[in-house]
Amino acid sequence: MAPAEESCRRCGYSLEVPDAQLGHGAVSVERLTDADGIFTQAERLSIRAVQQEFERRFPQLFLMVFAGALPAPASPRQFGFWLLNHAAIPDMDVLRPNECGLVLVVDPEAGAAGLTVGYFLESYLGQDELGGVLEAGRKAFAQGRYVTAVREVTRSLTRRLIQRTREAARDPAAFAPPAPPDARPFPAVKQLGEPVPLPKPAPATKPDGGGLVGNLGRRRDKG
Amino acid sequence: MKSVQANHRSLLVPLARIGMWFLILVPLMAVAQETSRPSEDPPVQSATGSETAPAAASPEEQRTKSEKDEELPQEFEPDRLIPFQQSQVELPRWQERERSEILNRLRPANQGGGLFPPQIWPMQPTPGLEPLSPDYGHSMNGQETAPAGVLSPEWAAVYFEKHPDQAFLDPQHLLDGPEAVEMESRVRRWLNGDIHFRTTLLVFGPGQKLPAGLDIDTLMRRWFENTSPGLLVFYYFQEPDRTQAVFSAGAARRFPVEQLDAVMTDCIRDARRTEGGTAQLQRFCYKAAVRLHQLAFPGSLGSGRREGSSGIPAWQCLLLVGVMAVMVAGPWLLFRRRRVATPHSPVFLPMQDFHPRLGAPHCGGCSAVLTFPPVRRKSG
Repeated sequence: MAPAEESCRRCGYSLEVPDAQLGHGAVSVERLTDADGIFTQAERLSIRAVQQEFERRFPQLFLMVFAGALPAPASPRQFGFWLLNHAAIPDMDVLRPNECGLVLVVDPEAGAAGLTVGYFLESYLGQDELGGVLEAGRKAFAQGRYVTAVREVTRSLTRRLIQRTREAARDPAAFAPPAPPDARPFPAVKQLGEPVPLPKPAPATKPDGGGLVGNLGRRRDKG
Repeated sequence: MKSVQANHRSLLVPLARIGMWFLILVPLMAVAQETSRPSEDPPVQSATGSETAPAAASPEEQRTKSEKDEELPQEFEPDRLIPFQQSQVELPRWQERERSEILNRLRPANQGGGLFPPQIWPMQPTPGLEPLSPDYGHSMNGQETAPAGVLSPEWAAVYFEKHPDQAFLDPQHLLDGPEAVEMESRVRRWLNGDIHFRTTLLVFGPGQKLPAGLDIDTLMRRWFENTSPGLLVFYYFQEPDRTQAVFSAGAARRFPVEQLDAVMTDCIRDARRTEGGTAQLQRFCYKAAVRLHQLAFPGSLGSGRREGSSGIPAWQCLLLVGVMAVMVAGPWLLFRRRRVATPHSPVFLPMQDFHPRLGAPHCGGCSAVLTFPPVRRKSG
């Protein structure tokens, strides 16, 4: 494993930001978390069956579903990011670490759904792919049929993962993980060489001294 | 592309259902069309059957039949309605006595059987027995039928001296009187009336031959116009294989010769398959009427039917083939997609190394968000 990058080199965003809002410690959650109680028992069993079928098909992965209103500053993207890094599922086997997990966050009140994947699946499912997976459940989401939406999303997810598996078997290089980020801080200091000394003041040919302006920033030729 | 993939399966299922309904409905439509289409068989076949039925019946059956014949018809009472089940009674049987009376011209043929009682049809037409026309009477010095062999000049004059007024010429009375009248009516109605083919059918006896000096081309030019389609048939009674058919110049100009030859070949073949001289001639005329009608009006109802074909129009065959292809290909595609999408065995993704970022140990925030209008919760 490559050394971890602690924060975004552009904006400085890191896990500390959602941790400050949602908490630092591990969170014990189930595969299906119905925070607001929007599902009936039968619907919970139905979603649980969908999750079990997904885990049976993909022994390396797991799918976690969170349904409920999110805290005010958190978005489904941020909450999924935070939850997947802090979730501790009690009955999850060790062969399925959190980086092999997917979190489907549904906020009925805000009208938003987010699908977040761990590091392991980033090579197979990019943001465009995840958007396509969520699109499969758009109609059901819009109609408030969340169980159907979860089923449609899982079906689309399964289909895409199987397709990516076959493509990876044919061309593994196409699914290689991205190169590790540069360890140097950002913005990197450009090595411009030795600073260019200012030339000696020449006899002014013009009263405004405009001749000095054209030499700024020029590198002195060596040799 | 995504929407197409998502809707692909939802489109195939209705298509498969529509195809299934088409597969059920199209043969039913074809059968219904077949039943509604007029039959190609001659409309009158009972006369031939009634001639042979008494000979094949046993004595007991004959006795029972004679007893039934003697039964008086039930009096019709308009005030007493006949129940529906009993109203679908069979038509009255042909009575031998009436048949003999009709053959002997003691009873007009149009009233045979007494189908309508006087209460229903009070105005019974008066039987009009008129003397036969000279064409059907005894002629040629009392000789009713010409001998076999080459026709004598007297008979040739009867046949070929002038264009006959009627379409069916049988001066030798090879057919009985009523049958000749009926055949004349059929030939006029079937061949000349409905088809606009000016047809003349000359009936010769078996074994007879045309005179050697007969110039058929001259006869055709004399009898038929050059512009209108005409047909002259030399039909030999009980020998349909010897039939000679000559089409006029107008017909040859309008239709291909191969088609005209095929028409006559079919007519002769159908007549040869039939038993009995009268039935053969009747079959010949009917077949000629059907084929000439197909020839003259290609877009008519019967024109799409060919010998040996299934009777279903071409567009229905194409539609049926298309529906069957959809029905075969649709489930196959569904099964293929399902098989690709849902394998039975577990799927393992190749392990990849990853690089944590943002200080997060498990997830780097790769995600997608979908927004939808917040609605009230529904079940399902």
